[in-house]
Amino acid sequence: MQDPEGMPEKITTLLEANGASDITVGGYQAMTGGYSRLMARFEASFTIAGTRESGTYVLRGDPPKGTALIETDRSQEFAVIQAVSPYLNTPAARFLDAEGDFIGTPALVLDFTEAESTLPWIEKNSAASLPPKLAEVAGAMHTIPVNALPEILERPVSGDPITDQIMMWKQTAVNHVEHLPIFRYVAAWLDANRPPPVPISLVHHDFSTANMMVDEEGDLVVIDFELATIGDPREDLGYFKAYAQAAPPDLIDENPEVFLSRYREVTGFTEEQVNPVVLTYFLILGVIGVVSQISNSGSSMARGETSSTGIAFNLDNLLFGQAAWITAAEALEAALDGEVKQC
Amino acid sequence: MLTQPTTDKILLAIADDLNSFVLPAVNDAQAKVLLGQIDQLLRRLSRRSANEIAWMVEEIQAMNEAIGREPQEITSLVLADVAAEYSEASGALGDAIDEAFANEDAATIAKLKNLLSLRIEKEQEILGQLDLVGRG
Repeated sequence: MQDPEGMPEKITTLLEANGASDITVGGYQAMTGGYSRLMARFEASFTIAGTRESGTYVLRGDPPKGTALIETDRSQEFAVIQAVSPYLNTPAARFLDAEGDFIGTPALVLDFTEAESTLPWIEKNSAASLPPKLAEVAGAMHTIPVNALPEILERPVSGDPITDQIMMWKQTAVNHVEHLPIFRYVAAWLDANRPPPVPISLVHHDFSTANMMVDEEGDLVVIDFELATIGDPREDLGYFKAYAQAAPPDLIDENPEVFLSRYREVTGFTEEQVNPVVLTYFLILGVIGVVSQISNSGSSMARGETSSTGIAFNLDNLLFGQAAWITAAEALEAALDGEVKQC
Repeated sequence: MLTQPTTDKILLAIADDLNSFVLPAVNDAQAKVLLGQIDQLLRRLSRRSANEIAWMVEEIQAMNEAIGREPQEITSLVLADVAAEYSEASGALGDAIDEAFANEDAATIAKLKNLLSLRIEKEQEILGQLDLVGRG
């Protein structure tokens, strides 16, 4: 994917295999911002299903074997994007090379969006309008009917997503290349302080400003569904807050009352189910999907099975996380010691 | 062997040169992201390499004491050996944490958590300022 000379021909063969004809592909250039996958944009014109189409597209593919920061499945990502597109503001998934037969690595083609990255947009326009927009996009994602989502998506094994997540904390601590007592503490603490349940839904698992853009109407566009599963929707809200601690701004903190009120309105959840204390609980619980992937990659590198600067760099995020989780647990204990016993 | 300049100082010098001379000469956006990550990693490794064996030895003793194990002599100061001892003691600390939570033993939970807080202090010293280079 990093050969701009050879890629137009490969993309052409992928489009042909998907029934397109009269194809021209050009303007191929690598993009930054694809944190875990290789990204490039290109221009294309083609005829498909009797319709002539031309525009800009994004190719999103796996990096060379052994260098991926996290291992995820392009076919699953493609199926998820196709399933959520009718409900959510996200660029459509157009073509899939599941095995890398055409592109040379498993990859998918998405529509390109002219929407702007969130952080530059905020610098120009301020974040004031975004808390309700964030609530709406999160609410839209979390109210997609579960039976509309692909069967391939992982569902809670225990039947209870919180139990599954706590188990993942414990398993990550056990599977890591060295013992992680802070993970053990976090798992035990989460188990002892469970919030009331809500219905399961799609969970993005990397729901952050890094995976959002702002379109011309000022609405948020959600991208990158490679880590999506079915679970407790509040995991995304907690993850959002956790990510914002490392990479501000926190759009929820920008106006928490507006955010929570609008989110409850869209989802139908009660104040007991979604409130600041519960968000703090999920700030800790909800990061384990990504944390587990980072831990696995770091362990593989320690065992000599893979190696990259990115893996070592990402592993250091766990140091930041460990401090944030313990701080959040302390804050939550203080809240619970008061009369806020909502969690 | 030559011990001076120490490893931490050499790593810092490499990071400074990469930042001052190599980075400005690079135009490729992905290579710039990689250099940004390398710069941060080298600075963290500099802080870590200066102290990591001493910190682990100190913490192994503190963990053993907190969970009521006999002090164990550390027979090798080879990095991999100390790291293995550190992991073993960390596992024992994890077991003690699970037990304290299972017994709802608030005093022991607080005592063991204090050890974790001391670990986090050192980790933050290594980490310095976190910049998520490469994320949009």
